Amino acid sequence: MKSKKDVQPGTLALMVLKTLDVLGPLHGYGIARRIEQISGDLLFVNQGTLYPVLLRLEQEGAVASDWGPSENNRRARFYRLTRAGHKLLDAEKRDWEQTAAIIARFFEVKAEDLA
Amino acid sequence: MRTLKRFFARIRNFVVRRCGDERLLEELESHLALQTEENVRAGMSPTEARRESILKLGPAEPIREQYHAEKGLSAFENLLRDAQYALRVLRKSPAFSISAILILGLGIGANLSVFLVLYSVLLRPLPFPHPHQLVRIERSYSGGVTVPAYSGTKALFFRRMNRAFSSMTAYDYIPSHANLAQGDDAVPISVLRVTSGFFRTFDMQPAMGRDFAPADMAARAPGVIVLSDALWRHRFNADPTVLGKGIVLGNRDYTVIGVANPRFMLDAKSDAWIPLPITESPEDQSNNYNLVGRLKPGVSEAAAASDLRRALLELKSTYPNLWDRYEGVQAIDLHDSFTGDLRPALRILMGAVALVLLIVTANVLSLLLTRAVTRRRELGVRIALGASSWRLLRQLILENALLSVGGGVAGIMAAGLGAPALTRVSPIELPQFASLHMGGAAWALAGMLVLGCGLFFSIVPLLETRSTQLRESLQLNSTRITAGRHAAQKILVVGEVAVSLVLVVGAVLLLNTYWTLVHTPGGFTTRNVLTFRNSFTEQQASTSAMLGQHLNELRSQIQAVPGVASAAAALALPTQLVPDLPFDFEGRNPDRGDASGDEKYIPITAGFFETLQIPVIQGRTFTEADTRAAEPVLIVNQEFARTYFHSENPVGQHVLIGKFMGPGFEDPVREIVGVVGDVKQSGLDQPAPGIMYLPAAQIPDFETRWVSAALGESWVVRTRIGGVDVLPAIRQVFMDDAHTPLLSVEPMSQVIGASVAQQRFNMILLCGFGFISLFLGAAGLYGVMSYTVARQTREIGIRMALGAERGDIARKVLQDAGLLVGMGLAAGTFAALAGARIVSSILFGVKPRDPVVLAVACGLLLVTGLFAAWWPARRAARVEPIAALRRE
Repeated sequence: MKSKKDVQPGTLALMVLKTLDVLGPLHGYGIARRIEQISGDLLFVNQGTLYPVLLRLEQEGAVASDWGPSENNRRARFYRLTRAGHKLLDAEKRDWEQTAAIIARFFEVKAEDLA
Repeated sequence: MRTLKRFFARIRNFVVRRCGDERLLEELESHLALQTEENVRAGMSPTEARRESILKLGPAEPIREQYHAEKGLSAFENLLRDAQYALRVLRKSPAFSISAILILGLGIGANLSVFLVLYSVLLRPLPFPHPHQLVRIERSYSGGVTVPAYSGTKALFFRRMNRAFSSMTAYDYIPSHANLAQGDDAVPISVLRVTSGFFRTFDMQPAMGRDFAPADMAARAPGVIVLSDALWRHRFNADPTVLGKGIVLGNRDYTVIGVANPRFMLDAKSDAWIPLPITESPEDQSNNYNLVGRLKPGVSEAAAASDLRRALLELKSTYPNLWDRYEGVQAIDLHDSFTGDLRPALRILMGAVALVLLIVTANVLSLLLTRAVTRRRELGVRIALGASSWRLLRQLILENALLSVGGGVAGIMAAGLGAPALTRVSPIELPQFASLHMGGAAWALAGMLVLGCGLFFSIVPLLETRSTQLRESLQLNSTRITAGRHAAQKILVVGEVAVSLVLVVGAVLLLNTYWTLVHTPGGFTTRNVLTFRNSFTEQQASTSAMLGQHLNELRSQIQAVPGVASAAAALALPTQLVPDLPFDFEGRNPDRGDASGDEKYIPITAGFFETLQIPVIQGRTFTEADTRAAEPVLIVNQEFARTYFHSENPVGQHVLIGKFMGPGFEDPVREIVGVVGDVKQSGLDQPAPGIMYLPAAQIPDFETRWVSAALGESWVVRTRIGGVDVLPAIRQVFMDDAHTPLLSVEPMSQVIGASVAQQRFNMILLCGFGFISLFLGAAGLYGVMSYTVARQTREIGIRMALGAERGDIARKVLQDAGLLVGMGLAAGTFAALAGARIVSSILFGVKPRDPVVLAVACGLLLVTGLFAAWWPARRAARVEPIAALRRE
């Protein structure tokens, strides 16, 4: 059985930002759904944890939110990326790529390379 | 930036207490609905679908908490909740809280009050730009004697010759009083005569108009005047067009050329400033002026003094008669020169009040220790319910902090009332620039005291939470106190007694000083002597002969009032400020050291010595026959005779006063016709100076005019029996015959009182502190002994059951208390002896290590201590053995 992974702390915000960047305004459920889909169901999102993250991003000014009608004509809160959010995403993305690259290099290193 | 934004968002949320629960719930609800729909589409039954989606969402409560934590300031919210709880705890034991807050308020308030006085007098810089450049120039003689008064010639010479000062000004040593004519009314105001550049020297130009110019100083220049801001506001309704207007002061016309800056304040209050017309003259010995200079930037006081010494050497060649080889010169900080005599006393008071705070904190600490014991069970229960010891510690510290803040608020309020009262109740003369407003410094001190107390009191919770063992505290009977804690309380009591003793010794010493001072014979009687002042018009006092005649007439009229034994007038009363005038002895070689001198100069009428009962040692006193037409005469006092005549007989010797003082001061050669007893003219705590008494009718006319304009005439009236109100009749005499009202009517004893105001102020304050410390020490002892008795109830019961007498039990308690007090007294005696040197500077007539004083103070504390222990002892003696044994 494939084991599902918990979301690493801090990465959820990045995922949210990227999702909003790609798909435009979405409500919380939509975001949760996309993250699940994109991560290939490998990530187990305890979906409720999304909301505190969304609140924090909103307080930081990275996203803005408004009430709007959902697909099933319910009231849902839609989140969209702000200009600051775009910048934040770019910065976070660079950081993340850098970190990933460094880690990757570590894994690729063989004993003879260091000799 | 992002964190900042978030922080503000949180604060906003916290402040408006926006409850975001609805939003979250709605969002979650919509989330669930969407998920359920999708699950249904995937083929689940509606119930199943809903269950799945809830599971997938995760546990709701942690999400909500996390959401909340993101939203507001959770740490702060907890703190607030703790504070609310602490308030509730404090409210639950009002006796404890109120007494702790009151005691703290007393300590902090007393400290703030004294600090306000100290700060406003000593620490706050003078209200001028670059105040440290301002120095007063003083004559100095060997043995550290300094005299601040200068002659006009020397002042002008220094101003001309110096290189160290950017500006220098001279002004009256004794401000004059003049009547400001306003319509039909005349308002007495105090006027200071100053040289040109006066305001420039203080670097505070008049708010309106201009400073005095050299041209204003000419003897025949038109009169110009600068008004004080207060005078301008109160008497001229802040008239913006006042410049250039003419006013009448005394009998002279003046044109207003300026209104001073409202912040312009020296040590004494002045309502207006007018030019001081002085010129250099080779024989000018009149030392009547203050000399103040502003140092050039970067010049030190010492450098300025050496520059002035150089100028003094040049004086030797320019004005050889003015040069004195014993005279040096020094420049001292102007602020120091204003406050020099207040300084040691204020420092000692600040020290004393700090000791009061020490006792206060010890007392509150003792209260807290006692309380901690009774709260142990509560803490135990809270630990059992899962409170972390950090949380408990925070809680307890918060309680203490609240107490300290409460004490601080009470203290600030007390100081707000106390500091002005302090200066009102006691007639201490603060410099005019001292204002007792709570400024930044006082707030800072209040904050520091509160913080310090809060931290200091945290010792108790630190000890408590560290040692509170869950099981023990739940088991412990709350009436039993661990030995260690109890010992701490006893040490506190011993400390309190020791510090109290130091304060009480100080109080007794100052009481003694004051008592000695007011009972120091001043050389004259104060019994049944009434004093007042009046000022004559310029016309009434135009010549000495005329003034003398007026004085004699008034004198005989007063003496005709039933009940009056005798009356006389003088330039100034004993203990009041009088001028010094130079003189030479006829027939003495000027090269001899004692051919000339400079002593107090008091014109008087006949009957002066008789009224004040100053003994006539030799020769005669003045009579009404000593008029202008009669032989010029002089009476000196014993100190004068000792200084200048040694074994010679002074009576019959001839003296020439003010020989070279310039036109107006020409005086005939006078014969000394009598020697009278010494009078402490410079104050009761000062040695009696040499004095020359002259018949008021015989002095130069110019002086009469000057003196009566400056000081007016002072009167002394001795009544036959005390309590007879002769004043209305005397008032009538003055209104009818001289058309002048009486000013500053007071008994002679009050005049003397004003001269010992400083000592009285010290005495009152230290007695207050002594009393507070005595009270607090007693309260501390009472608390500890009460606890001891409560703790030993069972033991006492057993003892009584075994046959102990009630008297024995009471005696045992008193003995314990006596032991504590005794240890405190031993420590306190040691401290008082060690600290004796500090107070010696403000004592008079009593040794700082006076054994009687020490014994009295110890006795006072012992009695108070035993008194405080009496109630617990009585309670112990009344313990019923059966009840005590049953009790647990």
